[in-house]
Amino acid sequence: MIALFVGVSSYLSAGILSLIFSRYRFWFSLVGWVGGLIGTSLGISSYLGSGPLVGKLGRWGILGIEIIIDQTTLLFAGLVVVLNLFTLIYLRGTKKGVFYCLYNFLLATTFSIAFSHDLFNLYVTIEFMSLVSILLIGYERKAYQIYAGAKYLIMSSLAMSLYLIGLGLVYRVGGSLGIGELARTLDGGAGSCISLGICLMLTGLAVKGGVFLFSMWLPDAHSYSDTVVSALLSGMAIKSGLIGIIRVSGLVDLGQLLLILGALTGIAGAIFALMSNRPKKILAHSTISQVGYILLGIGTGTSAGILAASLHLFFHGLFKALLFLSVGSAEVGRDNIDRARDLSLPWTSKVGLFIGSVSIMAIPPFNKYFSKTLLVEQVNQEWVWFAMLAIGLGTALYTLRLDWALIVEARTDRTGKSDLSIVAVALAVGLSSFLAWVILGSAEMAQLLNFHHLIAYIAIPLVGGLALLGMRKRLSGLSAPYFPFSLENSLVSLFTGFLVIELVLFAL
Amino acid sequence: MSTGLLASAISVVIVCIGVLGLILKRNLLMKLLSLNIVNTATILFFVLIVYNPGDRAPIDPTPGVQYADPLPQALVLTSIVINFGVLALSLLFTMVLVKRYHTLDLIKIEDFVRREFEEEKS
Repeated sequence: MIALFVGVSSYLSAGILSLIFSRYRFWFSLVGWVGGLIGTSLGISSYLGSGPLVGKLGRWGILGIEIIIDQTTLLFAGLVVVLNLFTLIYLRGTKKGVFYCLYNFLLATTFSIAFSHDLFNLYVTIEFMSLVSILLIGYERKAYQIYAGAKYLIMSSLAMSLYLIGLGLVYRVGGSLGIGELARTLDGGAGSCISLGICLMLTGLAVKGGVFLFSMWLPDAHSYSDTVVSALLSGMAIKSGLIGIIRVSGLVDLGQLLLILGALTGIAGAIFALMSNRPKKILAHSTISQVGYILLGIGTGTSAGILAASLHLFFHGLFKALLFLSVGSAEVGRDNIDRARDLSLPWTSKVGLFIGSVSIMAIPPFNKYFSKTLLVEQVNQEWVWFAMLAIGLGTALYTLRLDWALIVEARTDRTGKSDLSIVAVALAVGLSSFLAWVILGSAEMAQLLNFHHLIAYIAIPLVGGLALLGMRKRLSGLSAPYFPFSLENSLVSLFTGFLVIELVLFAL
Repeated sequence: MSTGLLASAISVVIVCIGVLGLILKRNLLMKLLSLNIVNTATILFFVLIVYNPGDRAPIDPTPGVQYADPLPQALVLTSIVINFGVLALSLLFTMVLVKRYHTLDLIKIEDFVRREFEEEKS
């Protein structure tokens, strides 16, 4: 309990103080970061001491808000703290006090989502998080940012309305809002009322969480906004919806549905990333694609599968933030990569891009390899295995295409703009695989590092590279098809997705 | 079927009307109004689905009387406040867009936005 209190209150006070005394905004934010770090460490020490813990906030008995401390919580809270540090050293006081205020508020809300184990508390924190992130998207007041923010606002408000309807249905039958309490009342046996309610809640969370068909606001919002905002949104803000899905998936068995959604999300995101030709757009679509793995992990239903999903959530936040920061610091985020010879990047950005891309392609010693192999070990259906192979191949294709343009073809800028903070972040991302070792232990690690996995994960990027060499001409001819993710299309695809969920849930 | 369930079915119909308006109207302001209809109908739904005819207000602690559940009211108040915030923010964004492009037609705005994004050098 004290962990949540320390983290959230220090972030909130850092936000308010950096708005009032904007001269010292960087130092206040640093103090906020220390508070978040202390909060996370308190959570870790409590977890190590007494294992997973579900408790009530306040002294209101059954009306108290349920909070939880388990591996998912700690990984997400840790992700918030780490991304806070990354973006702080990248920013180094370049923005105004208002930006720091909103930035700290965003961190406070995402930090509290990690601990939330109550359906209505999830609603409030996620809604607050999206309001703050919309303000951050439109921070530079460019018209396209305002438009992307408005689209996100309308879709997320609609989504949360659907969530509230579902919550009403679940509350009517279950009689409480705490997820632990509900799980005890329902005990796995769900009537059609509960199924419909969970279905609506899942739709709402999927819009927040970057699931394909549901959150088509994402490519615009993540690619039009400022670099730091993109990194934070892609790295942690969309994960709040996924945390919600992890929590809700404990109530009824959603396994098959989440597997289907995960495979669809992963493959479709990779295809759209391959068709885009602006680095930030590619990275935004790649976020959708990576969400697919997390859904697959939740869909396996085992505790190791959930751990794999949480680990993937953590690692994805790290390397995606690194990729966004390195593209943004070179200011090439909106250029066309088909004409990459005209571009120039400082060496720091190239290093950051390199480390980020070997991580995203899951090449063995880097972090994503461990979460992905842990996930593969949990999958016991053949088609899921093939879907994962397809997603991996797609990831390799678009990453190598981006790398070829920005690392090999683009010139190295020797005059300036080199930003050493990118190298520090890249180093941290490169070393983060030690964290997998700390969490999983040596025995599990040795099992994950076996021969089959190593061969498979080295072969996938190689095959991808060869395919790219063969298709290069055709790809650049095919690229840049204009697919309008307009508000209307996004809304229609949201309801298509809702119908798909409904059909799958009632057919199985 | 109890009165509460029937009434909540009607509120679902209102949600559907709002959603249709949200998808079919081209005017941005109309879209926001439809969104507000959806949000309000959601609140109506939430109030009605836990409504039980004959329950007393939970302020008078006489023993032996059936009291209404106080929790949904607290939840609904919170979500009304959130919806107010969302509406205010979306109207602000609409104002900025209208000032910039002098139109409320969403298709035109999307066209302008895309062109502006691609022409502006990063």
